[in-house]
Order: sequence, then structure tokens, then C-alpha cells
Amino acid sequence: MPAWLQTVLTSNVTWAVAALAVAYLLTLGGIPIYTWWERRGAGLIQRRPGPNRRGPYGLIQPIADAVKLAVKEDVVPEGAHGLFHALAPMLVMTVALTTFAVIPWSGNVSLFGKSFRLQVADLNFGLIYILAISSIGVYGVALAGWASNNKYSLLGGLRSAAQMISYEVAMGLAVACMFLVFQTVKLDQMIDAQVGPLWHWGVFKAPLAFLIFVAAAYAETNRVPFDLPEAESEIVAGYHTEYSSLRFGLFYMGEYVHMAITAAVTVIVFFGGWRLPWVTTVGRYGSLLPWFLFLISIVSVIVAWDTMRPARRAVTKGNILFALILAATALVSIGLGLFLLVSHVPPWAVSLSAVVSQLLVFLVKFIVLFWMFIWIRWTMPRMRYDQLMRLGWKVLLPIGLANLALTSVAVLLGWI
Amino acid sequence: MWADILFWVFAAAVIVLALAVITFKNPVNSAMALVADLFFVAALFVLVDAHFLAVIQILLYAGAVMVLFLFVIMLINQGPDELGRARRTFAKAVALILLFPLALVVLRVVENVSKGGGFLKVPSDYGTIEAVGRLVFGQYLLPFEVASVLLLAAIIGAVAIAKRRLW
Amino acid sequence: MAVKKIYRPPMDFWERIFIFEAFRGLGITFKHLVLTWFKPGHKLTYEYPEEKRPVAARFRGRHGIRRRPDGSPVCVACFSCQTACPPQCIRIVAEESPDPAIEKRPRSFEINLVRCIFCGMCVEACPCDAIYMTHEYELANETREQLKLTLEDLLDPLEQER
Repeated sequence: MPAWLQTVLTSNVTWAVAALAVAYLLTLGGIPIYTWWERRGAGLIQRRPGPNRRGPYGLIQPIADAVKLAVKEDVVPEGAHGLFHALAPMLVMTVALTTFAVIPWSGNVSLFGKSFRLQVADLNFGLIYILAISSIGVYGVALAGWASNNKYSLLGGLRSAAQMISYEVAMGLAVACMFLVFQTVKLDQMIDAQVGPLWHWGVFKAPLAFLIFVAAAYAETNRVPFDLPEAESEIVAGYHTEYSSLRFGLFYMGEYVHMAITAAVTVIVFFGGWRLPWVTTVGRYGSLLPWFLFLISIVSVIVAWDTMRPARRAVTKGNILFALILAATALVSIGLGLFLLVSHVPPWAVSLSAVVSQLLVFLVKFIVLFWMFIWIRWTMPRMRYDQLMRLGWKVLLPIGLANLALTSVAVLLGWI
Repeated sequence: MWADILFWVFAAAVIVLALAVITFKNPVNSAMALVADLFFVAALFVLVDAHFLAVIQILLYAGAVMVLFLFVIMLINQGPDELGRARRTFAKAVALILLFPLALVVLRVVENVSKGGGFLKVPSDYGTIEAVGRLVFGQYLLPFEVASVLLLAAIIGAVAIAKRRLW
Repeated sequence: MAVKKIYRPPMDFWERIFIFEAFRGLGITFKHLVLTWFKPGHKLTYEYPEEKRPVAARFRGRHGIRRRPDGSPVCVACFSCQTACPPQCIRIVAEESPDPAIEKRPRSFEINLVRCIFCGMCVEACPCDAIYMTHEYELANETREQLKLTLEDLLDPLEQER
């Protein structure tokens, strides 16, 4: 092992950059995939194919959408408050992106006597920080509504403000319950508290808190069934009625980033983060990596095979290229997996494999949780405003309070 | 060194924004200036190692209380012309009286620093959730509960005024 | 004003607490997702340019004119269709037919598709069943001139398609 590689691997900068790269891939880099995924999912649920023209499976479609958004005219309505009108979409996007700093993507591994973790910023108040920052996001929506000089926008902004305030209470109660269960507010310590068998996961320890948290989180991301701020049947497009071009794009992307952060937090607090049930040691995670690689190669081969037989259309160059990339991925993962399996792996490589496999576990859980957002959006009808308020104040709040009291008793008696 | 520079930057921002809050004609501008002001106050909290206070400051004041302020301002939605020039002689008098103890505190701090007294040394667990919790639920339990009863009374009073026809 | 009362069956306890019904709804949408992906006939849409929706037998697309066994048009230039056409989009110029058994034949037969409302009155009016409506409906074109069908276009509607 050359010395320079050791220097690179044990430098804090490398790990920070790697954590940033993961955060980037799941936010800005992931947005094209998320939009494509949402539209495909919507299509399949509604018994139609969804975007399937540009590129294999329609994967190039979001790029066309982005180009369309970018070249459209940027309209600022007359009488709008120029500064706040410009500031609002930036605020939404910035707030959504900032929260990603504290997410731990992997556990602690030791490399050459030092301990590392894929996490950009290790704050003392990880989860409270996320709550605090995302509570700022409402200003973006409310200001957008007010600054647009449009009554529908104003209604959307007001709805959003009222909704966020109402559901933040319920969310705070659910999160406080999890603080009691895990006895910590740091995200990495929460994941460490969920080590061991499956029923140590937060969702099994506090199922009621999970339901309250998910309902409140959906309300905070303005997603169906709580998307009243942009209810198109009542108030045109709500707070972003008067936005066009990339300013609208920022709102649109901000929603997906917000969904991503919510999914990531849910994974960490309720589904054990990067932990697999019953798998405890770093070495075990490292030895699991070859099998994950084999799984990846199997999936790639299936997808590549499916790409080469498009229904009712000729195989294009794009399909062939995509299939070739997938085949190469499959080959590389099989080769790497076999190499890791048969060769004698030094401890530093075991640590790195452990990081990769923990990241993969996190990603799988993240994908499932993100899919829940899409799935629920295309299943549920939108709530009426009085139903929304009744659910927030008369159902979630009392249940949350009772749940908090019960959980604290259970924690005191040592049941959880 | 860096903490000192940041302190002066943040403190200057706090003062400028606080002035902006009371000088803007448009109430929404004032409210947003106050939100930004609260952020810089939170930054000052971070500089003195009170991380928990900083986060709670953002979560509660910037994230919840000011949203309600903004909600009400936007709901009433009165422009600077409609607000007009009210005669606020009484309010000014009250403000001056309230300013007096505050000025005393500030003078006291300035005096202390100029004598070379410096700031208090903080214990190692300062600003953690546990330390704050012990203070709130131990030493200051009675004021804490009195404050919550006061808030409850305010809520009930607000409901009673708003729903007067229900009686 | 008469008020129409809609009977809504009252919800029982399990429907009222919503959460289990929500999961049932998720199950239904997931079933449709899986079926649309794997079962060929489950999709309700057609992938249009490659896959065309079958039209009804009486569908009225663009017009066509039938040929006699020798290849000449069946039309005898009687002007019935031109008279019957509500938007007056048909223009016929008649000439003497070389066949002594037939009095006239069209020298030119022009249908302006920009005006045509595809009502089918010309087909109703035709005494010799010469004009008919094809199932051809992809009529978009680049200029208005190209949308004026001539006798040649009408005689070979299917060859024009390619």
C-alpha cells in the first residue's frame, strides 16, 4: 500500500468530500431521477406508461424538462415585491439543501488507527437542527405567496403557513418521543441505538410516533394528501402561480429535495439508518459487500435484457448504449465481488467495503421511503382545509401527547 | 481571533437589522428583517457555545413565532398608506420607560468589560440539553411553570375574546 | 330549486380511523402498477405513432373515390356531392366522357380539407356510390395547398399514405 494512498484515505478532507458527493447525488444529482420516477410511477398507477420516449425508459426526459424550464421567459408580475419574489424560491431550495449536512451516511470505521464516518457536519443537535432549518422553509412559500401580488398566491402562502405551524407541533411531539426512546438527539447515536435485531428499529419501538411523524412530514413537504397550498382545483397553483422559468424550477426541485431529506431522516430515526438487522460488526458489513455487488449485477443484467426488447419499437442506439453500460456495471461488480471474496483482504479494505455496503443499505431504505411519497401521492385524494386542521389539532396533537406520556412511562419502567 | 471578528460582524448585523425592523414602512419587510435578526442572534449564541439555545431560537422564534406574525400581517395585508400615521405618544412614553432598565443592563456590561472583568467562564457541559433541562426543571422550575400557566391563560383569553358569541 | 340529496353510506369505525383504509388504497394502486408493468393488456393507453387505436367501421376519415374495373373513377360528375356539401368544400369540373355509356366524368375533383367538416353528406348524396370516407385520420400537413385533395389523391387514398 503506497503511502500517498494512506494519506489520502486518512485525510478528513477526503471523507468530507465523499460525504458531500453522496449528499449531492441524493439532492441535486438525484432530482432528474426523482422527477422521472414520480412521473413513471404516476403513469403505471394510472394504467399508462409514463414518459418512455427520450432515452431508455424515458430517462432523458427530465433533462428535456430542465432545458425547457431554463429557456422559458422569467416573468415577474406587476406590483410584485421584487426582492421577496426573487428570494422566496432561493430560500426554499437553500433550506432544503442545508439540512443534508448532518445526515450520517455510514457508521464509524477505523482506518489505520483513525475513526471516520461519512458525514459532512457532526452537530450536537442533529435532529433538532434539521427541524429548525426545515421550519424556515415555510418563509419561502409564505413570501412567494405574498410577494406575487396575486390573491390565489396569497391564499396558498397563508394556507402553507397555517399548515406548517399546525403540523410542526405534531412532528415535534413525535420526534420528542423518539428522543425519549433513544435517549439522544444525535443522528449517529440514534442509529447506534437501533443495533441488533429487527425489533430494535424505531418503527417497532414507537409505531404511533412513526405514523404521526410521517403524517406531519408529508404535511411539511406539501405533498398529497396535504398539498393544499398548491391545490390547483381551488387556487390555481397556489404560492407558485406567478412563478415561471427557473424560479418555478427552484420550487419544483426544492420539493423533491425536501422529500429526499424527509425520507433520509425517516430512515435514520425509524428504520435503523445504514444498519441491517442482526448485523453488528464492521467486519460483517465488509464481508457482505461482495453479495451486494452480485445483487447489483443481477439487477443490471435483468434491466439490460429488458432494455434490449422494447415493446413495439425498434432498439435504438440509446438502448444499446444503456444496455452496454449496465452490462459493464454487472461485469465490474461481479469481478470486484469475486476478487473481494477469494483474495485475502487487508483490514483497511474491509473498512472501506463496510462503508460502501452501509451506504448501499442506506440507499435501499431511502429508495423505499422515497417511493412511499410517490405512491401515496397517486393514491390519496387531497384533504379539505377543515379536515386538515381537524387532523392536525384534534387527532395528531392529542395522540402525540398521549403517546409521549406513554412512551416516557415505558422508558422509565425500562420496557423500551 | 476568528471568533472575535465573527462576533463583531454578527453583532453589527443584529443592530442594523434591529434598526431595520423599526424603520421599514412595510410590515412584511419589518417581519423579515426580524427573522434575519433572530438568525444573527442565534449565531451569537453559537459563538458563546450555547448551541442548544441557538437551535431552539431558530426553531421556535424564527420558525414558529415569526411565521405566525407573518401570517397575521399577510392576512390583514395593509400597505404603508393604509397604516397611516398614528399618534403613538402613549406608546412612545411606555417604550422610553421600558428602555431605561435595558440601558442600565447594557451600561453595567460595558462597565464590567471596561474594568477588565470579561465574561463569565462557562462550565464544560454548558449549553447541552442536559444542562438546560436541569436548569429549567430544577433551579427555575417555578418560573417555568408560572410562565406556562401565563401562556395558558393568554390562550384561553384569546379564545374567549374571539368566540364571545359562544357564551 | 330542487335539491338533490345524495345518499352517502355512513362510515364504520375502521373506515373512520382512516389508516387501514389508506393502506387498502395503497394496495389497490400497487396492484395496478404491477399489472401495468407486467401484464400487456392492462395498459389503457396506446403508444400512438407505433400503435394505432382501431377505429369504428363507420369512422369518417378523409375521402376516397372508387375506381371502375378499368381504373377510371366511378364518379359521373353529377355535382350531387358539391350541392350537398354544407361548408362547400368540394369543387368539380366536369367533361365529356369518352365512354358512350357514361355521360360525364370529372376533369378535376377537388376537396378542400381545411374547410371539410367530415359530415359525410357527400357520401349520402352520391348516386353511384363513388365517394366514400376512408379510415385515414392523420391529415396534418405543412401548407394549406397540400390539404387540397385532387382527383389523384382521392383515387389512391392508401397509396398516398406512405
